[in-house]
Amino acid sequence: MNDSSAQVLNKNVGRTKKLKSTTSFVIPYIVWMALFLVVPMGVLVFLAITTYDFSANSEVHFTLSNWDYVFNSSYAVNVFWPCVLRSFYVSFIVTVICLLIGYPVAFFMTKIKPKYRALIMIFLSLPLWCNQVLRIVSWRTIFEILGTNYNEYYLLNIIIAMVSMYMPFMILPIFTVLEKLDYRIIEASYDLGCSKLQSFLKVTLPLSLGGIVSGVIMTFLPSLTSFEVSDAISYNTVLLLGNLIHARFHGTGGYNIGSVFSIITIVFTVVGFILVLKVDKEGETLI
Amino acid sequence: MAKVLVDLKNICKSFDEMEVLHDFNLQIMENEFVTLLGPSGCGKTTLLRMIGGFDSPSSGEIYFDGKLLNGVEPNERPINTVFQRYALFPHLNVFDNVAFGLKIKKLPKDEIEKLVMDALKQVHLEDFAARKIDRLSGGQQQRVAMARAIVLKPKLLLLDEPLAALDRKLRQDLRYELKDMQRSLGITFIYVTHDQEEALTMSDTVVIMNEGRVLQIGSPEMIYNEPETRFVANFIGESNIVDGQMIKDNVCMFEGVQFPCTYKGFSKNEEVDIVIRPEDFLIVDKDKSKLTGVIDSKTFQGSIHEINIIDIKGTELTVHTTKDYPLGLEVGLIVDPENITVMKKPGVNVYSGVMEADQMVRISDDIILETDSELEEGTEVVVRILTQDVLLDDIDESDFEGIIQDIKKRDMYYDVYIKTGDKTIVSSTSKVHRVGETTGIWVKREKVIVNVEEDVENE
Repeated sequence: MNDSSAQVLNKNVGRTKKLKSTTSFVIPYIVWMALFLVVPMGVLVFLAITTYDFSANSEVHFTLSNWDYVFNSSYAVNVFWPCVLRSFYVSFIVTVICLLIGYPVAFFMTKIKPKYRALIMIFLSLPLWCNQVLRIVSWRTIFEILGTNYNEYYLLNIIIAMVSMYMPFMILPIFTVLEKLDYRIIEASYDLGCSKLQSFLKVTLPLSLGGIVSGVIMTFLPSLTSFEVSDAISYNTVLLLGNLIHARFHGTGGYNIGSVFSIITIVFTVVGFILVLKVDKEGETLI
Repeated sequence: MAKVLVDLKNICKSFDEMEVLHDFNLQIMENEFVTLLGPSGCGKTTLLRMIGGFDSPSSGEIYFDGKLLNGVEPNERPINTVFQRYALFPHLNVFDNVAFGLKIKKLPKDEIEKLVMDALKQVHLEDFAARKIDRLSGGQQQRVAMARAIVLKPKLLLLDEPLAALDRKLRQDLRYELKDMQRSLGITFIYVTHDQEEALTMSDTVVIMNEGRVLQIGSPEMIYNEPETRFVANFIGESNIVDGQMIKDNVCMFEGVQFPCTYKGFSKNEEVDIVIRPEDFLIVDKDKSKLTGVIDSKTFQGSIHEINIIDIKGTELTVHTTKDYPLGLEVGLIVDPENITVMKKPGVNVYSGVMEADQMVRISDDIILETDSELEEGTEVVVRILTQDVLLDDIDESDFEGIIQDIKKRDMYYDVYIKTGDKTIVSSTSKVHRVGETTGIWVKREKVIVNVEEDVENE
């Protein structure tokens, strides 16, 4: 071995050493993730393919009967899948409303002076400092005052509460993209003959697509899996996906079926995030 | 005679009380290549944006082809822009970027395709039509920006530092291409740059700007050979600027040596600035010239040697020569009469004053000014304010006020004599004032030059 290659080798040794020393910084996080994400996921999968019952500490039998129940039983047909559909329906409506209100707000925020922008930011983020359950319960109080706190209005009430809760998650990613947009590109479109509307449709809107997709996913997914809103607002009478899972784990037994529900929900979520990352490769709009 | 295409009349522009353009007047002819040249912050980009319609003047009119352009939206102006850093649409490919304006005009598809491909051919990018913007080099992006603007066949093209982001070699190549394109298309170009080399090589007319004002307008040769102010001489190329006197018509003197020159009309022994370009000095034997000095330092710069010569009185002169000379050699310098530029010294108000607390200086009971000087309270000082830095404004916006006593017309401006208490202050301005008028007077704090009295005596 000659001198120069020895030097290269030494350099590499140095580099791995350096790498090792910084790697140690993430160890606590990796341990945390392993304990509270990977292990529970394993438990979920285990429960979903066995008949093991925690409370009885029963024998372990591997089976697909849980999946058969969720996909083929009359319970599945009459309760679970209609409930999934309802959840998608509610999330869809919530997302559309958030987008229709949120985009103009985000757009407006880029047009005003920084101090007013900061004020809107405070209004957007201030509610997040207050406990979520409290915010939902206070919505129920508002509906009581409005006189709409009964059966016919529950679905509407849930949608209103969800819109208010998830609005910041729609506005912020869209605002982030719009704010980064080079004003010269917009001016270039005017320069080439665009009216204000044409410029918006042909330049601003396509260039903010990344923010829209992030906003949509970050509104859609939490609405899809939320259980506490329907729980508090409709006294658990309007069942959503989250409520079914909650009931399985909170009530007696049924962990195995609940695990199957959870895994199905996780699949929806993962597909959602893959979609975001397809549009927004650097993940810069995610908060 | 060429037709006036763009006529800028008395343009003023302020942003939040910061004045960026001051009573700006300029006419641009059809098919002219005009360059606005100046250091950053001189107002050149603001001016371009006002012609493009992205900013509006605080006062004054912009005429295009005889029609008033104020208030016309940018999309309704027959003008296109090549933006700084190009501002290409990142979500569209090369073809769609160039086709953008044509699609807005709703031209038929086959016509768009033909025009776009023609424009791409003109900028040598015909093979890149389907390329994404972020897959292009800086030079290629610049060409797309050009194609996108010229495909609409505007009468006037605005270019905002289009070459600034490119490396030196590419910049030089593109200069010629731009000039050729301007000639072959027959479009008027208004080109903004801070690069004097670019301005000199490409333009028909160069407009030199500083602090929101025109300093000089002329052909590149004129600007280079006959700078009218110290700023222009310094900004355009390298210059030796030395103090001198006009002995009589066609004779000037500097460093104690008389030289023939081609300037007339100065008063006898008037103090002037003398400008000589480094390449205009000729080095000769020391006994062949009265102006002699010792070679103090030299650097080799490729095609030329830059030699610094210390004159007997300690003045340093820079000479460019193709021949090498040894350090320490005593040599003589001669210069052709045509190569000596004589400039009037800028007028200056000189007062004695006393420093007060909080960086204020008192000139008289009526005149107390802010200054950057941090001299102690009570220090006796000499205050100098160039007449061009004395600004006249509304009384309530100003530092102090006075009554106009006299107005003298100079070449490009007026000298206005204003009496405030027992002091007279002179202001050089292009605005018209009347004798007897009361005016507010205002000086930027960094323009109030304060020296301790002893320093001045030593000078």
